[in-house]
Amino acid sequence: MPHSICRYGKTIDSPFKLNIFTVAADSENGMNIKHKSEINIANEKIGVGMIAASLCVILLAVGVFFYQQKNADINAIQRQGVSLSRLLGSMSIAQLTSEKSGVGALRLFKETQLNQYFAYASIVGVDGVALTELTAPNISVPPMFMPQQPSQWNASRVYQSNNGEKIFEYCSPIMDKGNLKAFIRLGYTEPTYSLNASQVRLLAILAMAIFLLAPIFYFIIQREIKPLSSIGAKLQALIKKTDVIDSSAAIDTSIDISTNKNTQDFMKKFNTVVEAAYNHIDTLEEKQTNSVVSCKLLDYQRARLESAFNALPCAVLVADESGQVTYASNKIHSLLGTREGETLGCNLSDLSQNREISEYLVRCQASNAASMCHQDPADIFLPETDKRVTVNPYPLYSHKNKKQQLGMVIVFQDITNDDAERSNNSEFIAHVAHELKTPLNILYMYSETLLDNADASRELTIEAANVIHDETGRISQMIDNLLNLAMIEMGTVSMQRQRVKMADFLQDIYQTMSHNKQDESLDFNLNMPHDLGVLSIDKELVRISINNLVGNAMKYNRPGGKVELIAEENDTEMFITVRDTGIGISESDQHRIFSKFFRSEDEEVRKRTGHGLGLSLVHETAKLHQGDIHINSTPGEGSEFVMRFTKDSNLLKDAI
Amino acid sequence: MNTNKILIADDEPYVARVLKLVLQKAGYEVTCVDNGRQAIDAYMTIRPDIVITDVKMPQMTGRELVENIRNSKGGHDTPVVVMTSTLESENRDWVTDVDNVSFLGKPVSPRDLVRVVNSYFTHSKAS
Repeated sequence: MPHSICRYGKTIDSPFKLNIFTVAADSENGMNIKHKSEINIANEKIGVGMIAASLCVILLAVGVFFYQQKNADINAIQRQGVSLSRLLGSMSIAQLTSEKSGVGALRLFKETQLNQYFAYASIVGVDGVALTELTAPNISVPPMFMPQQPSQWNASRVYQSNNGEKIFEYCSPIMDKGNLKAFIRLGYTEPTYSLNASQVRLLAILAMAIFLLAPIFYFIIQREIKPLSSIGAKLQALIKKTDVIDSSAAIDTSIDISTNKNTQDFMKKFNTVVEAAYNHIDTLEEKQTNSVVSCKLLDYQRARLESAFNALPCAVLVADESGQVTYASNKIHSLLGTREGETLGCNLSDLSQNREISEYLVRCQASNAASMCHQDPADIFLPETDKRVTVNPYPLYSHKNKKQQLGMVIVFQDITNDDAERSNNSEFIAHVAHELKTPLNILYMYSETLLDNADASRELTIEAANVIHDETGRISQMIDNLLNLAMIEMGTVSMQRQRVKMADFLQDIYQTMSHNKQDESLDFNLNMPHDLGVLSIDKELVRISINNLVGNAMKYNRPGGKVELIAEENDTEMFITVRDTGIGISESDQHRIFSKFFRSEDEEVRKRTGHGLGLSLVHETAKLHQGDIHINSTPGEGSEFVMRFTKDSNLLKDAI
Repeated sequence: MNTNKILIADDEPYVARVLKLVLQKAGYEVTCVDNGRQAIDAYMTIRPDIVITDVKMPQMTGRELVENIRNSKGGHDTPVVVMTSTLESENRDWVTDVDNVSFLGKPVSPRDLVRVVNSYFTHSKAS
């Protein structure tokens, strides 16, 4: 036995390295209420079980008693039947029947018969005819089996009575001077199961003893299984712990082991195992949480990286060492004419339908694979998309091993408009100079006029002052617009995107512009929902843009006209509309109105001062915010400019 | 003495306005128009003694205006003063090719303009 316990201990011991952990063995209040109630239920079950078991034992004892009693009865019948049949067989028929006195030995026997199982006594002649029959009530004598051999004369047989009962018959021959005269038959019915008084007494004593023993056993068992049931409770808690991640719920892992010395060793080990399991679960949970967090973080960083690639002015393609495309920024499609979703996983040679591009990329791939020198960038014209691109491949190297190549990054730069832009540049400078010179010219003329006319009329002085004021304002506004435009175009403008509550922002613009309006007869309204949402925008650029639009709407209006600033939104976009009842814009002008320094030839426009930069800045601002601007206008009736902004990208929300 | 009439064509309203003020003060009768086409019409009706024009104007440039005046009846010798920006110097050569056309570089000094205009009349009186 000790050997097997030792082995059992070892099998638990080895896989968990228990000696690291200590056991809090003396903790008495280790179990919480829930576990106690579970144990109580278990104890009740044990109690009921024990009562049932003792009842079973008693029933079994009763059964045994009944069985034994029946066997004893059968034996008694047998003994009595054999001996009596022999005794009666030794008498003469005359003695047995004794017709004279009317009371033969047989009748005497029957009358004195105490045995309750007595069925009949009968004398049967050799010819099988019954000479005398004495029967118990309701019993008829079954016909006799006539024995042929003398050895069968003395016999005990079993018959079936008329009412289906078993009848044990004991038969003996009646001899007269050595000759067989007749047979004497004694029948007994089969004994029933019954108890006698002494047995009942014995049984009562036995039952009492069992009922007294049952609670004792109960208490002993309860004492023995208490640690086991707490093991069960601990295991239950362990299972639940794996289901519910709740590290804060500190569950005492030790079990009260002061109860039983025999189980102490086992319980100590068990406690250690449970504690080890708890620690293991905690470690795993922590690891899982960490990995989930880092997964999300990686996802978010990947999304950010992709959006950064997409924000680049050039298209970027990443291919692995086998030449398969692993990443393509979204500008690739407009540049190469590929379709979205078809580029990923596709081979470099199949990427574009353009042969020149394909051949170049294959050359890049080949020289890259052979670790040869860097392939020179190439200028390629793509008739498919009517674009000219510069393709620039850069090999990627492993962090650890600088010689190991991981594929390459290919940068496509759209240079279609580069030439046109270069020629536009000198024109642009001429424009700027001209537009700057005009107000300067006016300032110069007025100031000189004032100088030359010291006795100038008050009218002239006021006019000159007004003009100088207006023109300096115009110059400064123009320079502001120009600087902003230049910064946007050069890409040096750092978009100061911030989350702006558009309702407040537009209200603020509305207040300022209402204050600034030159013509008091103009009707200027702001129209927007109260709960207008939030946009992530460069506040100053958008403010200047809306100011430009509203300023234009006021400037190119008629006396008593109307200007409306309207904001609308849906789930993904916001529209800011500036509508006026002004002079309108002809269709041909609508196409050019966003070009720098464009001013309409229209007389109505020419009457008003302007420098042709305002709308250009609005256009650039909209583009910078990944939005756009549309015009709806009917000459003579009015114009409507709609700026469209996309709401916050859901990038971050998706990632987290 | 008949007042000498001057026609100013400039799309910048303030420029036209200040020149008009200065020239009126110098004793001339001044008419202002916004563009070249109006300038032609005004030239035909007013028959000014001198035309002062900007080069860059909507509908008709200063150069076209000069050509139109020269081609019109009795317009072959009307003096024209062309106001040009120094940046447009490469386009200034045509001015020297046409008789009786002078130019003033921007920013135009009203003082200089009056002197130039006056010189035309003193010159014509002397001859």
